[in-house]
Amino acid sequence: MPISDPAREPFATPQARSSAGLLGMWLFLVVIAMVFVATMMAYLVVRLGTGDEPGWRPDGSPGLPWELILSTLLLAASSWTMQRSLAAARSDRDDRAITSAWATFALGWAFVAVQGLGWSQMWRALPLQDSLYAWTFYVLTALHALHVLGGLGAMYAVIMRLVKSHDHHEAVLGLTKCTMYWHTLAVIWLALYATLWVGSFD
Amino acid sequence: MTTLPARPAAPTYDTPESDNYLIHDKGIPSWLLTLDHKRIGVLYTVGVLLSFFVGGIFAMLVRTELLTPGRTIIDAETYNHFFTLHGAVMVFLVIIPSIPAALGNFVLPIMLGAKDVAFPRLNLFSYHLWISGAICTVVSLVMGSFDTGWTFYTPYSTTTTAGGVIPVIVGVFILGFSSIFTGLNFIVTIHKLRPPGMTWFRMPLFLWALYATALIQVLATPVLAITLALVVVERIANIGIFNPAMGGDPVLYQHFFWFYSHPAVYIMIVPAMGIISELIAVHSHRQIFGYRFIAFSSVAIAIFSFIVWGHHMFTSGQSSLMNTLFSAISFSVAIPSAVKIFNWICTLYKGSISLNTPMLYALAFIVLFTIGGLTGLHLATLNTDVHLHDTYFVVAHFHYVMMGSALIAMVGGLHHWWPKITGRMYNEKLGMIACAIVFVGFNITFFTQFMLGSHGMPRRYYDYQPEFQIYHVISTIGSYIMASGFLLTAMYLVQSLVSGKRAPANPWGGATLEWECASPPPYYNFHEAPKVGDPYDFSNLHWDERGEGYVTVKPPAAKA
Repeated sequence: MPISDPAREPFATPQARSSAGLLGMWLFLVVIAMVFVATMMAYLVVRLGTGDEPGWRPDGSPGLPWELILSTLLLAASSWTMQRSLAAARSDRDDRAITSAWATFALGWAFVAVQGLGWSQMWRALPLQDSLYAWTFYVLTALHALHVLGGLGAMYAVIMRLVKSHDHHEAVLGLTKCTMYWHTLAVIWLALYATLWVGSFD
Repeated sequence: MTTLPARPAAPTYDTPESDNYLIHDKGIPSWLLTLDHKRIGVLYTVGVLLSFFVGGIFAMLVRTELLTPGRTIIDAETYNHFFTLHGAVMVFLVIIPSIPAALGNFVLPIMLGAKDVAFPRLNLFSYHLWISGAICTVVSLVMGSFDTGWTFYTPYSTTTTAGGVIPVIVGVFILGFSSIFTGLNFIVTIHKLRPPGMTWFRMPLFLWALYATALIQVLATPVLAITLALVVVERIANIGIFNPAMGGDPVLYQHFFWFYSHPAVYIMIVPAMGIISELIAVHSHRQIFGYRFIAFSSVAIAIFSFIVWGHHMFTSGQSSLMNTLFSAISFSVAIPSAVKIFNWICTLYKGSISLNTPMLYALAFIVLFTIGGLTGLHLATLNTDVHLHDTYFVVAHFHYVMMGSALIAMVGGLHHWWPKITGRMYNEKLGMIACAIVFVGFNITFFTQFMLGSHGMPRRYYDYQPEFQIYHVISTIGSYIMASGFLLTAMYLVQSLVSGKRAPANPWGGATLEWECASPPPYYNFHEAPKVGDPYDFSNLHWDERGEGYVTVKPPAAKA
């Protein structure tokens, strides 16, 4: 968004501002990626540190909840609808773009809901215990879910801007950034799920 | 002498009185909600200097307590709180934001020839995050403070009964994001807002340093954020990622902490080196020696910063292969650092040196950083580190780097840009006296601690053997001398705001773009994109008696 006093606007053209915005978004994604890479590293160090000793997974406790497979599919589907929305917006078909974006928004909430179901499965078997197996599951999935929720908040604002459509260029730029963020979260989830899965073997 | 101004657009020294960034808008909200990078820089500067005062008071209390073995003025518990507060305030609230966020915010866009940073709103948000982090630290004090040391090592930080651990960790987490967003903003600004003619290799070296620093801020700080978040979760929910009793790994915390905090040392020192490059070149009125080497050595240090963290952990039980690798890589940091020292000295050589306050601080930096850097080699050497680890030798080493170098450069930079920021000249004589007092006091305080450490005095101890007392007494006396130097500095800087002489646009003869703006700069920085030249070409700058500042004088056309 340009700043209110045009004489202080740092960019010479709207295009220059957009390209700066995209670079800023890329850097922000690097920040997010560093957070998750560090978290997964921490998980692996703790997991590998326990080696073959028994006790990583308490006796009789379940493996990863099956809900995670469903939520993975939902997130993948949402990435696809997000991309369709962006493609439509770029070719000026705003109605289609808005429909696909709302679909993404719904799928995103569905993802969070199914993650919640997975949590409750785990919680029934391993409530507040001193089990790192359960706690790392809670911490890693919650960290990801919080970022998804943040993304959904931003997505709502982006969709509303597209609906009002005062400034098509700005709206598409917002949608582009939102799409970048959303795909990143999907890729991170795949890596996170794989990490949890590998670590869940006893 | 000809007095033809080459750039007639350059404002004369009386225009800034009618309109400048300081008086363009009035009222406290116009400051706290400003999007102007210059005002945000001033706000940071005020905050950082106030925090420096608070951190300094804790330092004085700690040094006073150490005058005698056993109790001098405070009990052991309070002492633990005080040295922790000194460290945490100085690192997170003072040194990390001091150059990039405070001076960097003010200087970067003007030096670059831009009207502002790329994301002015994000910039203001960073400042509000900084304020929130500072408030969290105050909340922590009210809730019982913390005694973990500034490193928050687990499992102590997750088990101590001190009540303020969670608020301060939340505060540092928030400060981390303030730093990340500032870094992100600077990277995008330097990539996207260079005016025509400002190529990468025409950028002043301070901007190269800020760019390298910003890369570290963006890449390393997120790791600190997640680590601290895990410590808070561990403390609240009693899980054990870092607790060996529950299957976790305390050394993992150390790896993560230093993966951020070693690069953080370079967040402090790299921009400081950038300031020194400016001070040395401008105040010796001589083309900087080895521009590209200095520029690339900043980036090299930024890259090295990510692969040396294990040298903080030689005694933690990590494998000897890791120890050897980390030791070897740590030695190699000496190369780009020495490149800079060499280039600065070569710039001074045959320069026309103005021996003023900024130059004195720059010379102090060269001496102190060399001592700090070379003693770092003792610590990077595996076998000597086993002896010196966790002794006062380490305390002395990092104070030479963090304070003697980073902070001294910040104070030098503050004097250099003070006329630009405030539009007033400070008292040069007092400035030089204060610099000398600080330099002498600093060395008395910390050089003594090298001896103390090599004789075996451990850091952080409340009580000590009587044979160490003489060193402690000397060190404490030095700290009082240094404090008096800083108090004198505070006095004449405040006095200059009230009755200082008006500053000309270019009091030092700098060739970078901020000296083409009036002092203080106009609200818009530049009405049109400025003409970019060589930032270190001083050949056309001459002292103008009437304007009492430097003006650009075109060389007379060569006769054919």
